[in-house]
Amino acid sequence: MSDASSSRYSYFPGCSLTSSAGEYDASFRLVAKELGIGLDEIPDWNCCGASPAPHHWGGNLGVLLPARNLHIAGYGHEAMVAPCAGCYNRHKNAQHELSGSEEIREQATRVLREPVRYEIEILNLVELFDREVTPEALAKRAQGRLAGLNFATYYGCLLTRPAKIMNFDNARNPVSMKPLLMATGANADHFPFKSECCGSYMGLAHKEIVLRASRRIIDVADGLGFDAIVTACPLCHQNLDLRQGQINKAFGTNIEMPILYFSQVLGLALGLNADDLGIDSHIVSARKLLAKIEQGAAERTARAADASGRGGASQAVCAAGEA
Amino acid sequence: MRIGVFVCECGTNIAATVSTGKVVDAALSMRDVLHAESIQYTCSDPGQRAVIDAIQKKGLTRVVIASCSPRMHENTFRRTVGRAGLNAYMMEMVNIREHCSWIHSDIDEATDKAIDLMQKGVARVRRQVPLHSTTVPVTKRVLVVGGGVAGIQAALDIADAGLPVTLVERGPSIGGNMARLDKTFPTLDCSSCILTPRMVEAAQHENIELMVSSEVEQVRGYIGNFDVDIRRKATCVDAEKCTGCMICQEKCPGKAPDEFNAGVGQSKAISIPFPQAVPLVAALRKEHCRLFIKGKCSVCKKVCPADAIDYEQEDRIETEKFGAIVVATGYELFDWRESYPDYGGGQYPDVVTALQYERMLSASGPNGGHVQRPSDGKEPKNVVFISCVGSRDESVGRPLCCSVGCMYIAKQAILTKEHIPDSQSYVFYIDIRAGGKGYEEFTRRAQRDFGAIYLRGRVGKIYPSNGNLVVMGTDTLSAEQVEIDADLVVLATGFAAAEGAGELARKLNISYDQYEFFSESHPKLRPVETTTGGVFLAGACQGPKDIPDTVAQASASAAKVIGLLSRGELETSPMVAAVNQMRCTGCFKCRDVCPYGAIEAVELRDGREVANVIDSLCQGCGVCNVACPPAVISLKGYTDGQLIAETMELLR
Repeated sequence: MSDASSSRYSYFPGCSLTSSAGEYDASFRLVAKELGIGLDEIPDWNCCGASPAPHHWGGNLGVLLPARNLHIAGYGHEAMVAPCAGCYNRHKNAQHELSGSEEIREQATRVLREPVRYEIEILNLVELFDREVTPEALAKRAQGRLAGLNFATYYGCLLTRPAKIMNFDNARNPVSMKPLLMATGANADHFPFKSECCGSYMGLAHKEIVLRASRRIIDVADGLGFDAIVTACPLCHQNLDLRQGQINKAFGTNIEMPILYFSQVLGLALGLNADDLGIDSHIVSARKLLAKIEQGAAERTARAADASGRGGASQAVCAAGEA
Repeated sequence: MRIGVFVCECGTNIAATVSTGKVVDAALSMRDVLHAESIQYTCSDPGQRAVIDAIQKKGLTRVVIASCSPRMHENTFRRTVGRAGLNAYMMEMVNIREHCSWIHSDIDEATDKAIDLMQKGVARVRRQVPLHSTTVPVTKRVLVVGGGVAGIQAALDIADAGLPVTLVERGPSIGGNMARLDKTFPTLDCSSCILTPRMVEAAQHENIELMVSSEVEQVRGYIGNFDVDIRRKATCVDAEKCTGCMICQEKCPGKAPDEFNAGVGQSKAISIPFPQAVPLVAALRKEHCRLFIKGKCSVCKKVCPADAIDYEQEDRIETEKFGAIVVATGYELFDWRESYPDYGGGQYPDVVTALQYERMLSASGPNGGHVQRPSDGKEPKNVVFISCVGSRDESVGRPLCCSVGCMYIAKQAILTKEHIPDSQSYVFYIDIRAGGKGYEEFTRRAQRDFGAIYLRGRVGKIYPSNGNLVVMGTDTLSAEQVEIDADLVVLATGFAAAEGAGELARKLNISYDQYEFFSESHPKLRPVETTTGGVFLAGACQGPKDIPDTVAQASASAAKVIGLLSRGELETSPMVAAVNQMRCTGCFKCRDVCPYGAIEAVELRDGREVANVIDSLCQGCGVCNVACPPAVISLKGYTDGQLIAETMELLR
């Protein structure tokens, strides 16, 4: 693990992490600090372009906006971390277009008034943790805190597609979250809907599409007995968590499926405070899950006490024998 | 020296792109070229006649024919010049079709290139000397590799013609994949009922020697005279003593996967793979045997009434001579699990392959033909079939059609209805390929008479729900998303080459494609030959095919073998290496590199030891020419002088 003071990573929070997904930002910073991963927030970062820039405004705005972030981030850093799957996707797409077109590079250079730097490696938070923490190291610190839980890993679409540009793991069957989740002592069984569409930003124009798509994801996770869905995308989180009440109402279901960020789960595994990690800021309560963790901790303490008690007794016998 | 040049027009194949008249004019301006003409179709009877006339009337001593690839007509034209009284090797072919007219469009440039190639040929034929072939005796025995229906058919046909056959099978029984099938399409014949008599016939045939649990280890030699090392694998059972009583299998405490039943059910560490196995002899699998894993057991030895168990048995290598080899190593199913995570990647017990389902349907299968799904033994009511899993799917690197999936799915849908009358089958398909005799009618029957619902579209996802499986797909005909609550999902997985096919091909020196299916010599006109003389192909080792095609190809292979071995001697190519022994230094680097063991040491009268080429073994590959430090080995017909002359002509 790297020294906290050496910030090899440039951090791009994006709009979600500074507003609706504040708990994602908070938990990411906490866990990174705990693991000794230094982060430099990009000074004066701007919008990643999100959905409107590339899709509605036309021109090259969808490339030029992220290009400026890449340009600043590239100064003195090894890689740029974008925890939001949307930001991650936009920056990677922009990088792809920049590397493939002299014309766009020239345009970016004109806008930035200096030769554009765009080659910096772009990482999602899952990739960052996979690189910086070995499962063995995490297991050592987590001490089986999350044993007995079973997490549905949910990657959505933006992390993995288009596969040739994103190069994230395996587009049809992403598995990057699994090794670290398993290292916490938890299970991460195969979740068939791990890269299924959540409905994306259709929530604004056609709510019923989101409700139908997201319903299937939480319904299947619930049916398969998962304790929570783990995600790394604020928009997925919004659709699955914020709209869970609407889903239950629309379909007459009664599902209570906590949706957690990957960084929050790692934080819980490291023994960080659940409130600091922003677990209570979700709409769907995770109290059952937290209670399970506490119960597991209590049981482990009891077992340890029991074991040491037995050990103490036998030592006493030995001592008596020696005497 | 009197050279004649004949420029073939090949109809318009050549003449449309190459100005043959200009090639003729260029030829006539060359030294020693006395005659040049263009001919519409040189390979035709009048074309060959024209060549012979010119040779005889003008007293030509060498001939250049500029036409197609020598692979096509070299032998034709050698015979032509031979009929005209010349040595057959005084003819040089120049390829101005595949190498020129077919791949270029600019007439001027193509003509220039054709002239260059023709001049190269003239330079080469100028330095050619008459060559004479010799003959070698032929070993009248045949090796058939693989004991499936293809190998059995080929072996029987060849043996019936009076030739001794050795049938080598790596498994413990012959029968192959066909023995695992329940019924066959489109007649619904019981597969083992029609195959078992053939298996027994092969075992009892006086001209067939059966070698099961055996593999080809190494192949040396050449057409007519192969030396083959065969590994006889240790099975810990004395085949002579074993009576096939199966008591060992009954008492064996060691569980082992049931390969014959495609993993449905379990077998024992010592077992006979299936009741109709031929030979009916038990075999022990050491990797599952308690004695070999834990060092303690030997139950089978104690209970065997024939005293046939021998734990000390070891692999042994037998070397045999053969005149021809038929390769019939078959196929296995494409392993779909890695490529289809959307179908559960093998994690859902109730998603099975069609071969597993075949065993579930079969009366000789683990459940005696009572269909029970693997997860809980329940009889399935809703059965979903998914075609083209690992075939016709570029996204997993398998664009090839398995050619039988549409048919066996229709068959299994029919059998499902027969076994479970209140069941409903659904078939997801891309399109229905039913090209054989009676095939189209059969797939119609599955739908019309047996109520199978056919949905044109792919399945995107399968997920477990309430103990069943939800199959999500599209019906592209009604443009609707479909979700089916399935009790059992059957995947029509595509064909893959048998394990180790590429390795065997390298041993046999035959070529294979990117899927490790063996390549035929010509896709239309030489469909059972390989590029290596004396090695023939039969069945699905060459590409996916159904039983009738497999059997037909096996018989075709047999006919080729019988034809080949009906001759007592084979003519060898005279284009072999020769050593200038006066200048040979005796370093024997040539002997070290020769892949055919065709170089020996001989002592000259002055006591010097030099290299000598054994003509009958040399295949004319030329490796020794390159290795020889003083460059005193040359290949007849491809001498350094000829190659340099050709190159100089091109550089001029």
